Amino acid sequence: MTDPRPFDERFAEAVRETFDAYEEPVAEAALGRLQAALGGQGAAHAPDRPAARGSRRRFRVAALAVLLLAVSAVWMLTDRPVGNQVASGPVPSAEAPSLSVPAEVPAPSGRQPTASRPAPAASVVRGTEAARLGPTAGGVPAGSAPSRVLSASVDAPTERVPLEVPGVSVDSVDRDTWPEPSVEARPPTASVVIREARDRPRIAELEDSDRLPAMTRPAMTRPAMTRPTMDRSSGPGVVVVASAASAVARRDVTGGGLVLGVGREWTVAPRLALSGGLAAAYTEVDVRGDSEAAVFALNALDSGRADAVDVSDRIALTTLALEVPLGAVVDLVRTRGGRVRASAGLTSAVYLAQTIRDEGQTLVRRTVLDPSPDGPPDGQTIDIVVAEPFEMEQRVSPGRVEVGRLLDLGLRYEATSGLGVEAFARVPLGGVTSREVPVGSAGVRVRLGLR
Amino acid sequence: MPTEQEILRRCQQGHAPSQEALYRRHWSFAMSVCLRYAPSREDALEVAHDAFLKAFGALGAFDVSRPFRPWFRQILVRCAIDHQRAARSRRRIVESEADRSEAALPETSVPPDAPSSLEADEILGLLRELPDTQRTVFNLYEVEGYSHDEIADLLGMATSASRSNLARAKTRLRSLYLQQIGALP
Repeated sequence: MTDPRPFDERFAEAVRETFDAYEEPVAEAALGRLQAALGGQGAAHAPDRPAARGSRRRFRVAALAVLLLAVSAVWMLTDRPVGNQVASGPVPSAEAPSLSVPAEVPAPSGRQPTASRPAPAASVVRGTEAARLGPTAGGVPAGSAPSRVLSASVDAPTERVPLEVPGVSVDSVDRDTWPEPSVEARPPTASVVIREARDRPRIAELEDSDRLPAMTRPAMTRPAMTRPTMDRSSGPGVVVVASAASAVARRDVTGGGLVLGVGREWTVAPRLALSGGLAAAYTEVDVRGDSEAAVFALNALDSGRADAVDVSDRIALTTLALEVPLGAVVDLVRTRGGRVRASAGLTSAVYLAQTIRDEGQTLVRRTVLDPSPDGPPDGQTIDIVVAEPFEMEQRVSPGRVEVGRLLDLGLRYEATSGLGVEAFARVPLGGVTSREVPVGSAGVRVRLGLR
Repeated sequence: MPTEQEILRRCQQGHAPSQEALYRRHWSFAMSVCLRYAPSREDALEVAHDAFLKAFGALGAFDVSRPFRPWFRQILVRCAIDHQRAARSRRRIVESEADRSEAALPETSVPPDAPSSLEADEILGLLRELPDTQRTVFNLYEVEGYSHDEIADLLGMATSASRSNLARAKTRLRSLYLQQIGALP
């Protein structure tokens, strides 16, 4: 039986059948050429695919970064006295520093109170006064101030009482060359012999003075040798930072975030310090659908470039990340109550959790029989576009690291009490490693210096 | 054995072995399309190379839950058309002469069971005798199922030109086939 269809249709069907079943061995040379080209082109990027972030190397980097952050956090949160600390208040002897770490014990002031004017039990030294009373007092040059006070004695002993030197452990003293610490009461005009460093006795004349030494007579008062602390207004210290920010981006982007963390500064010049820290950052960003997206989608469908196109009405991005800010701080103005400072730095991020919620419509091209009454009678088909709602939530696995994600700029006022307020702006540097929506932010940061 | 979706996901990460697997899986399909559009096997290889490159480059935006082949077919067709455009100027003269040489043949002159048992090489031989535009229109309309309006958009021509090119292609194919089987001198 012969096929009644015209030759053209039979030929077209023969072409379809032949090439639907067409098989050909892979041309290895062509494959090699493609691989070479792909090697130069690099990986195809999937901006919203979690699998695109799972390379082993990145996890290694992330693990190393987390380890470094943890070590840094422990180090920052440890109360470590440092060189430029000054006395700021009395501390019970049980908390006083031990002589076993002499370099960290502040030198006692050279001037001692007279017996007629006993030192107060709680002598508090702060700020510039502390500096005046510091290592150079009593003719002892800075850096060579005695770090150990061995004993004090008077010429005419009337009563012998044990010397209570804070932090001195008797067990730690070489008793052969180091006499038992003691103080002997004496008339007010007597001099006090202070021995330092075993064989280096030094005599300091007692004078009436308004300046109160950091160490007072132990037999008369509780030791005034105080626990060393940091000057929160000028020296390095741990700072707790909390901030709230609002997203700054295109008009169709809204949202904001909260950050809570700790920081520390390292002074490198009289007015310049480097800063670093660790913070937990929570961000919520909403991206509203672009009205032009539907137009582009329809064009894509009309031209046959796609059979279905997703058009998002709203994309909600929620992120929890560990942020590592590194930067520099410059003192602009110093006042009696504090200082005005400007800061700039880069913030990197290790993502702990990310959720992307996408809502919108899928425009699908469908081919249906032409329903119009004036259409062709032979049942010709037409293409129509159908909108189907979709809702998708995607959770991105943690561990992604973005180095230099944000440029952080700020202007702040820090009071000498350690409290500071800062206005800041964060500019996204999405071109470095970030593949997210480039959303900046601006807000207010509160800083509180800790001892 | 990884599924196609898994392969596609890995390709999105630039995983080279998966790219090779995808290439091997769709190589025959790619060539089956390219050979029909290209005037020679060398040209078809070139078009397939360009299409794979474009596909891997654009794979990041591809939804792996959808079938790959329809999407890839569009890339192949577009690459073939681009390739044809690039070569059009140097073939314009030849094409014009071929257009003039075609002659209308009555349907009755074709054997009623023709074409019978045509191999791929034979079909390609016939298609390659067509001018580029006619071959492309024939493939788009008769094999891919595009409408004349879509073809007109794709090729940048009027809808009527698409129709006339198709008619000429069919006439010429009939003539060529009859010559091949010896039914026409």
